[in-house]
Amino acid sequence: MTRLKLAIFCLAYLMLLPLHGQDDPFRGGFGDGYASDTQEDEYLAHSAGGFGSGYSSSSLFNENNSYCLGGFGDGYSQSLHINGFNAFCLGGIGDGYTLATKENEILNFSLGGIGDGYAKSVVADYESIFSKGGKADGFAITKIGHTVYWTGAIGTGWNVSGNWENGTIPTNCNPVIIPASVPNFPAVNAGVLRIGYHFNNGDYNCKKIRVNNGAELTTRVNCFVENYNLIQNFGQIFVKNSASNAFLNLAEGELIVKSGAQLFFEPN
Amino acid sequence: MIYPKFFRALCLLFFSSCTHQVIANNVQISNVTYDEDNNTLNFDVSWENGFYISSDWSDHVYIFVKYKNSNGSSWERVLFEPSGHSDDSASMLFGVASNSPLIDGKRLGMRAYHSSLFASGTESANCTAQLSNDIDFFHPSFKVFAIEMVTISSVGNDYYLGDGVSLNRWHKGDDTTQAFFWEQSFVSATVGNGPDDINTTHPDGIPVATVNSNILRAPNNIMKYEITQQQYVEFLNCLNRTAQNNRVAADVSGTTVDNPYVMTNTSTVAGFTRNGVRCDATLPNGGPVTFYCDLNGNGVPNENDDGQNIAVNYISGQDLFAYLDWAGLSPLNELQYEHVCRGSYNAVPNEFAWGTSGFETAVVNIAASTAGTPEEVLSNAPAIGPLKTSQFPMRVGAPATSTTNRITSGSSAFGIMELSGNVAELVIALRNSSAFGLTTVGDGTINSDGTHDENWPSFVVEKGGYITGDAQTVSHRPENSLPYMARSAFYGGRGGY
Repeated sequence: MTRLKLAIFCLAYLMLLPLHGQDDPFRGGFGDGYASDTQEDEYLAHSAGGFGSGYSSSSLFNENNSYCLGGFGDGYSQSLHINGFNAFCLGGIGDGYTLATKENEILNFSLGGIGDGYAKSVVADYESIFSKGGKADGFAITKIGHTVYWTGAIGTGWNVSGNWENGTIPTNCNPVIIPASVPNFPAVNAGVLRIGYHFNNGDYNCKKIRVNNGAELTTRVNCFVENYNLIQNFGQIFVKNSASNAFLNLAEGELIVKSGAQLFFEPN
Repeated sequence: MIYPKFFRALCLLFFSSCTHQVIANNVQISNVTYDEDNNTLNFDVSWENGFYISSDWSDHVYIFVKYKNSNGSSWERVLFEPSGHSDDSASMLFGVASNSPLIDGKRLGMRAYHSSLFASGTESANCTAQLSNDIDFFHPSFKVFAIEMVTISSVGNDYYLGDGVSLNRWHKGDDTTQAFFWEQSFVSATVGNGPDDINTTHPDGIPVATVNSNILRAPNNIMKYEITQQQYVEFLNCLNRTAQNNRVAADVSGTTVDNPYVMTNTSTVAGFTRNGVRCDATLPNGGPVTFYCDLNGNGVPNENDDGQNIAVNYISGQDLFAYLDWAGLSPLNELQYEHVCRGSYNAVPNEFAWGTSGFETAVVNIAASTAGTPEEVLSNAPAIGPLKTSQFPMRVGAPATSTTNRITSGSSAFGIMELSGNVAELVIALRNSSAFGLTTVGDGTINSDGTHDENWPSFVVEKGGYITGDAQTVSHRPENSLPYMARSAFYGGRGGY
C-alpha cells in the first residue's frame, strides 16, 4: 500500500467512524480485524490484530489476554491488595494463570509460583466471611393459638371441654378470656396453673388470661399459679393457697390489675 | 473460558477484602399476634450476624406459616398478598420470597433480608405480613416457621462437575480425567463424547440426550443447615394421624406405642444414633399425636439438652421429600449438590465440601457439658473438616466457631454447613430419565397420607455424610440409588427454593 492509498484509507475510515462507532462498536471497515459481531469472533479476533485494527494494545481485550498469559514482565506490578480490583490481573514470574484454560483446569489448579495472583490466602479471606458459627441453628418456630372463651356450661372445672367454647381445652398456645354473665366461673382445685410457655406443661394451661369486668377466677388451696406471660384482671381473682409460692410471676410474667379490679389473697 | 474465569476471580478478590466475622445462626421468631381487622400477622424475627455482600452473596431468613381454624382439624398453608408487608428495621427488609411458589397470585413464603452491605451484629425486627385475603380464617391459630437460607450466587453458576478421579464421577465428554464445565449462559448440556459434552464414568451412564439447565443449576437459595430434629418434630405435629404414622418408623396408629422413640423405633434413645424424636407411650384415641424432643430420655419434653438442634437422621427419601414439599422447598439432585459444594472454584481431586482433599482422621468429641444443647460444640476442634465424631449426629453448625475458616468449619464455597460431614444428604439420583424432567418447588401441601404431591422422582442417593473414605467426596457417585423408603442412622437432608 502506498502512502497515498494509506492516507485515503485513513481519511475514509475517520469519515465512516461516526456512522459505525457507537451503534455497533464491534463492526469495522476495511482492514479491521473485527468484521464479525459475534462474541466468539471477538475472542478470536482480539489476539489476531493486524494492520488497521481498531484494538490497540491498550484495549480491554488485550488486558484479558495478558491476564491469561502471565509471565515475566507482563506489565503488572505486585501490589495485590492495594490496587483492588485491578490487582487481580497482576502477574509476575511463574504466574499461575499461564495455562489456566478450561481444558487444563484440574491439572493446573495447584500450579503457582512467585507472585501468583490466585494465592490460597486470598481465597481463605473471602471464605472466612461465611465460615463462622455460634449457637443453635438456622431454624425457629413460634405459635399462637386462637383465643378460647370460657363458657362454664358444665361447672367450674378447667380441664373440662364442655366449659370452653367449641370444646377446646386451652394449651399454652391459647389465650383465654373469662367473660362475665356465664353460669359458672373457673375454679382450679389442685395442681399448677401455668400461663405462658414453659417446656413443662402445667396441670392446667393457657397462653395468657384476661378476666373480664364482672368475671371471676379462683385458685383454691392446693393450686399454684405460675405466670410466664400475662394475666389481665378486669374483674376479680381469688387466691386461696397460703403458700409463699402460691402465686408467682416468673421470667417475663406480668400481672395487671386494672382500675376497679380486685385481687384477693384469702387463704383458707 | 477467559471471561468467566476472569469475572469469577475478580469476585474472589473483591470478597477477599471483606474480612468481617460472621456468625449467622440462632434464628429466632417470637411474639406472634394476629390482627383480625387487618388480616395481618405480626412477629419478631432475629438472627445473629447475617451477611450481605451483594445480591449474589448473602443470607436471609425464609418464613412460612401454617394455620388452623378453631373449627378446623388440620394445619393448612398460609399464602401472602404480593404487597402490604412492613418491618421496623432500618437495615433489614421484609417481603415476599420471590422464588417461592406463586399460587393464584399469592406467595407461599416470606423472607427477611438485607439489600445493602451488612456484615456484623444481630438483626432484629418486628415484621407485619399481609395474609391472603382469599383465605377464610375463623378464630385461627398460627405456627410461624423460619429457616436460614444462603443465596447461591449467580456468579457461581459457572461451575465444574466431577473432579477427575472420584468413582463414577461426571466428566468432560472427551476426557474422563477432566471436569465438565457448565456455563450459566448455556440452555442445556449435550450428553456425549465431545469436548463440550457432559458424560459420566458411572456404569448407568446418562439416560437422556441433553441435560437441561434447571437440572444443572441449583435453586437460588439453599438451607444453610441440615434439617434438625426440632424441625422434623414441628412438621410431624402439623400432620393428621395417618400422615404421622407414615412419616415415622414406629406404629403410632393405636392408643399405645411400645417404642416411643418413633424414628429409631426403639423404647429408648438408640445407642449412638442420638435421635431424640419421640411421643408419649399412651396415644390419643384418634386425632394427631404430639411429638417432642427428649434426647436425655427423662420423659420431659423439649428441655435445653434434648437435642432440638441436632441434625435429624433416620429419615427416608420419602420423609425428606414430604418435609420439603410441606415447607415450600425442593430437593437437590446429584449435580446440584456438587454445584452448592464447589461453587465456581476449580475442582480438586477427591475434595470434600470444604474444597480440599484432606480430612480429619482423628475422632472428634462433643464437649460433654454441651451435649444436646443449643451450644453443643466439639471439644477437640479438628484441623480440617470434621467427619468422625464420637457421638453422631451432632448439632448442625457445631464445628463452626468464631475462629473457624472454611476448612476447619467444613463449609462449602457459599458457606453452607456440613454438605460433607454430619448426616448424609439425600438427593435425587440421576439414574433414570424421569429424574431429568422438570422439577417444581413444593407448594406447601402434601397428600393426606403424608406423601409429597410434586413431580419429583422416587430415586435418591446419599451424598456427603460422615463415614470416612471415598464415599463422601463431593464428586463420588454411589453405584446404586437407595430404596426410597429406607431410613438409616446416616440419612438426613436439606432443600432449597
